[in-house]
Amino acid sequence: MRSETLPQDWTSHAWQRAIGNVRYTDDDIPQGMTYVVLVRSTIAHGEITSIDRDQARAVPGVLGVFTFDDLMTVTREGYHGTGYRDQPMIADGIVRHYGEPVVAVVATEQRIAQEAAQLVNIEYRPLPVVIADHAALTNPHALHQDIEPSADFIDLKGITPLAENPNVYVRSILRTGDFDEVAKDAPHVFEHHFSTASASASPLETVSSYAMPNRDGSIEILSQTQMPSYVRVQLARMFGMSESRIRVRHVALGGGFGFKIYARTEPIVVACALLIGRPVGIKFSMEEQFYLPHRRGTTSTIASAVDDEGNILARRCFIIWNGGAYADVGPRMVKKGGNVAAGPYNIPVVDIESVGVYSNRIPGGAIRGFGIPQIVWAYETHGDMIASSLGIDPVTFRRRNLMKRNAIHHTGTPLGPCDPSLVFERMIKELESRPLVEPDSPELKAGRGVAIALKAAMGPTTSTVKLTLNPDGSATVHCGTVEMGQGSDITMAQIVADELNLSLDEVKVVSGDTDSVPWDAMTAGSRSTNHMEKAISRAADDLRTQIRSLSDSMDTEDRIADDVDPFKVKGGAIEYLRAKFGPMGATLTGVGAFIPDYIPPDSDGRSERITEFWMCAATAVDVIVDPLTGVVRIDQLMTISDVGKAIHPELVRTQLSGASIMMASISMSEEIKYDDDGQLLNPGLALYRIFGFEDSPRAVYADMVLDKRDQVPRGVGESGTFGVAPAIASAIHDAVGVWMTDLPIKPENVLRAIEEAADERAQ
Amino acid sequence: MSEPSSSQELVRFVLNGQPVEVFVTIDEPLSQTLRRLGETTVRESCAVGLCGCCTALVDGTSVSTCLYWAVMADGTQVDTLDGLASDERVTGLQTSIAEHGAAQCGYCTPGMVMTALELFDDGGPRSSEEIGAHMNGNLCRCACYPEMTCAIKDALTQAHERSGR
Repeated sequence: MRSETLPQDWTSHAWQRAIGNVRYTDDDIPQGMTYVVLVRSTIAHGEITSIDRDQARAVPGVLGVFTFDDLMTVTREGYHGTGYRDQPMIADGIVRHYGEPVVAVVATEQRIAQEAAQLVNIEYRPLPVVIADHAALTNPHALHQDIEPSADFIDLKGITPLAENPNVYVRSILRTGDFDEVAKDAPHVFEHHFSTASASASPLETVSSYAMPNRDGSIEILSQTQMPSYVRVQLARMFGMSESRIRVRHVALGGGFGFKIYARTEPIVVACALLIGRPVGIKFSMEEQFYLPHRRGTTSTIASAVDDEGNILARRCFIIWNGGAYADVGPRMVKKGGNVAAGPYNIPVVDIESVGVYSNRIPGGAIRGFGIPQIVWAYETHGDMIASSLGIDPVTFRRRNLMKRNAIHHTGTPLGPCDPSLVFERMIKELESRPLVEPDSPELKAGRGVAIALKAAMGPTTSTVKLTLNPDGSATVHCGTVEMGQGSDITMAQIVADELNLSLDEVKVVSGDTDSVPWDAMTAGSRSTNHMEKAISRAADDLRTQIRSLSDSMDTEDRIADDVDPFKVKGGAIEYLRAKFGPMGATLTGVGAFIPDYIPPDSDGRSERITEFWMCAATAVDVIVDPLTGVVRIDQLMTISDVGKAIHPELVRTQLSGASIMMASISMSEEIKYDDDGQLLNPGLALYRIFGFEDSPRAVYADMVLDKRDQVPRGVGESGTFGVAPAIASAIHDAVGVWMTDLPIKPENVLRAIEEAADERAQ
Repeated sequence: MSEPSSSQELVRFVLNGQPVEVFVTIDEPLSQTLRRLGETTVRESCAVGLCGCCTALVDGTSVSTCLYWAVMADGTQVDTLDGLASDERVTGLQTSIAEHGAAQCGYCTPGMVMTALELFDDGGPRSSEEIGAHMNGNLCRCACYPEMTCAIKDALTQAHERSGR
């Protein structure tokens, strides 16, 4: 550990990491830690008929071998979930997916717990297994009975499973007219089907959490979490404790990507720690991490009525989200994905149905993009297929239909300053100076594809900050945003520095401890910079008011005029502190909270205020395809994102670039595989391959569209992911003339499509 | 250090210039031993030698310590990032990483530095393709690959220029 001179600018983020100066969760494991290892289900669906734990209990060093009923002796409510309380801490009499935790073995050392876990013998009565998307939708057997909505979030109030099909835990409708009415008179109607595979976020820092019970009955949790405030709320509910008795701590995360959200391992370690009265931790291996929620697989059917010029007259979408055994974030994803399923296009009539279904897959969660990439995959590829059929080039087709600034989105919510047309034109301009590569060999074919997408920001969630003006005029901000690589610490510091007219080294950001840091709903959904900037601004205003009132008691000439910012006066705010409290000054604390306005949608799914802001990004991809093998190499990958305002433009660019490459990996290489019995076939990085240096595109370009009129940051963590997959498919079509409709795009599928096209031509 | 059991062996090696003695089980990977010794820049992730997060130098050669038995380290010289803090090649590369923003979550970064070090041995500049081929055993889920490639390339060029003077 070294303490080099810290560069006081955006480069300090990477600098601290390059010198190994960032400590991660597992670097400071509290003393006396014991470990829990989970015994997992070996079948995908079944009733637990017996659990034999005698042998495991007899292993020296084993402190407990616990079932759900054992955990319930210290737990008030054993189920959790953000949309529905449908998921037990560990299996409660029934297992619904392969790898579901059934028994928790606690021992003094992790390896002892691992050895003992092998000795637990569990018998099951198998039940029917449902894995595929359509099979899940038509499954006659309800996977859950009488599930309760959790109502944690305003936008998920009142959700309910379909009465006629309880496996559909949420159905979201957005309807602005009658598709069939338009289609019957339309010159052209196209319909296509698309699918996406499940994928794992696989952060390289594998999940861990640690629970430390205190003698006074309070408990401390050290966890890799993107949602420390929410974890505390859930633990308080589940264990019947006051939030003031629960302290959730975290440090920087070695990757999050939407994977380390909600309460997943924390309830298990807390229950075990309460049972044995000692600190208990859990640390997943990379392989084990594959049993945590995945990106949802989808099946989409999308139909459009268009005129001869390529204007889209009406669009109908039906999306099945395969949610796996527990709903997790599904209800929100199904709604948010459905809302934007027609794309950023002016379409007079849209008719969208988006359904989340239970299956015996591992639960669906979120990865970077929160379902939007699956949606964009369908509508952008569909659009390219229509354009191709009509003989219109993909750029012109989009230009005819794209929404502009202030357009009213299908949901009824205005786009405001977000301008898809502007973003798209900016990308087309950038492409002019980057011609398509000439392949080295005449057998190889090059092609270019483009895509554009829109996402509504996270539903209404609250951020609060505590902004302290120190006696010397420097500032400390208590802010719950979790640093996980996006550079939030340096970003929040810059926001405070700008607000209070300070230099970066005069600002300290404190996060990672719910005992001192105020509520923040989550670091996810590209919401944090936008919401936190507003909360910090309000906290700074609170400080301004306090300083003004200090100056009110001063002589008239020293008072701060109403139009003067106390942080911009000569000598700074500190002069007023000293005038009032003496030469060593005093501490002033301002608070600020922000939650977006929100109007729940009507029965057609429409609302004038469904989101705080919109995010738009365009993607361009150049590929080189080898038609003899089906191997596709991405030569160039470009992302242009509408970001409003960039706090640190360099960090924004790396976020966009990294997101786009990650999604290229998911689009071309990553696929969670199950056998017919629902057994996960490829956990771990040996069997599930993610992109490395040599897979990465030859040239990656990421840039942003700034908005000088509306100086508000709009979120960048996800937008680089949106259009990558359809841009790849479009480029492949440009190169070799075949359409790919299923993700991931594997060489064997490309080759098969090329061969089928050749066969058709031969006939 | 806990009391040795019958299945443990005493291993002696030089860690970052300091001699150490440690009891290890016969099947303990060096990555776990190094972490027990407080080497937090050695990070276990994939556990199958594919991600490079646990890379350290054993007698000057970069190895995935998750696949390297601790008993094999007996009598060797082991270096982690912390032990190379004053190495000019390392500080040059770290500065370059900072300037290129080539670390996001940073979990893989020390392993990247350790693997990249071997590129400095020949002393010459390298192409992006050569760097990619050498670094392909180090994964980055944040996908800082373009930035890291540029960072290594610049650091190599600068090291070459320094040595030429």
